[in-house]
Amino acid sequence: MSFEDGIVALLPRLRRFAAGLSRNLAEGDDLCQMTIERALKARHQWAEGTRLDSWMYRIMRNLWIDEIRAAQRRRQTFVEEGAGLGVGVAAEQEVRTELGFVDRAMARLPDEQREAVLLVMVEGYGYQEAADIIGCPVGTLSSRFVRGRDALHKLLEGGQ
Amino acid sequence: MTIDREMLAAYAEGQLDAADRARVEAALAADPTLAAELAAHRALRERLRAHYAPVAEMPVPDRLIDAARSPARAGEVIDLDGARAKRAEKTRFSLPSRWIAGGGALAASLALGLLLGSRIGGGPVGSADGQLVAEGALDRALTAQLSAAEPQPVRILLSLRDADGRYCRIFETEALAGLACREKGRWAIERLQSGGGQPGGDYRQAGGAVGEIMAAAQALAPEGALDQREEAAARARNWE
Repeated sequence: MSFEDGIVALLPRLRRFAAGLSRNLAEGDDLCQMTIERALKARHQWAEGTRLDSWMYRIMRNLWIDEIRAAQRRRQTFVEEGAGLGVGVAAEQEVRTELGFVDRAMARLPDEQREAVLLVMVEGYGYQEAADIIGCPVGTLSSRFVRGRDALHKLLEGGQ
Repeated sequence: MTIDREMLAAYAEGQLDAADRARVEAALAADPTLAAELAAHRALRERLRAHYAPVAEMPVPDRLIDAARSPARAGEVIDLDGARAKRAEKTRFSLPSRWIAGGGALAASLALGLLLGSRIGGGPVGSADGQLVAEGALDRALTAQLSAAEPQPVRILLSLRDADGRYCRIFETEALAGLACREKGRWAIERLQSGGGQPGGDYRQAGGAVGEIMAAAQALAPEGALDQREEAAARARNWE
């Protein structure tokens, strides 16, 4: 599989992670595109035989930290809390409500807890892989993950 | 022994070695509270996975595939603020529509002929198969010109592709703004409104007639306007 094909095959998962990080599908796709561009420019840094997925996730995560968090702070006042993914919304009001609760709860997590929860629970990475993507020790990843998980439990308990 | 929260979470995520796993399992068997915590952890994981799953199941937008395979076509997202501003630009117009004519009304077509005839000259609007179509200078501009900001007798503000795959273009003259869509080798006039841009003014900001045409265009093409490259490619294919 070529490098480009490898990236294309990863796109559905990368979009999911991007949407989780940015909590907005359109912005997630922009992040996705930036990630692809960065990966193509840095392709010589990718060691053949190592996992392309973790490498791409790391690029995306770092882009998110470097650029987007700052941008989000700048426009915080314009953003509705937890605008949500708005994806796969069926007509049923209950589905709509469900999406809203999870989005809102995720939005209230500190960034480092949110990314840990996303990588482990949604993306299915082991602690070591998730820690490598974030660039932190495994113990740190573990404690962020558990704190994020507990916070989500608490937030979702109230609203269901 | 006590099993702390981190160890239980690590167990739930399959991160423990055999010895620790056995200890957690022994504790789970003896402690219903711990077992309930484990169940809650798993329920949360399922809920989150189900929440984000649709994103990975949707078709990937072409622009992302292009970004990987043919970066030249995809353009580049330099930064997210810029990309966001572009999106906002495309969805900015949300004024209600008050169309003078959408085709069919005799009075309207008369009014069109008068207005266009007096402003552009050369009989710019004719009719074919009961549909108003562009002729003369308007037809030539729609076919040949790319969207541009430079003042011209007929300015093309943007191009888009509607849900049926037709290319449509928003045009503006000194007195008119309208939307024409390519159909059977002709430009069918779908929307027309009097009161175009101010001469020399910034018509993109002017709102009014153009804003309302833009609102209609937005409804036709939720993904927004073609970019310069897409527009040039469409022209090269004669808008078919």
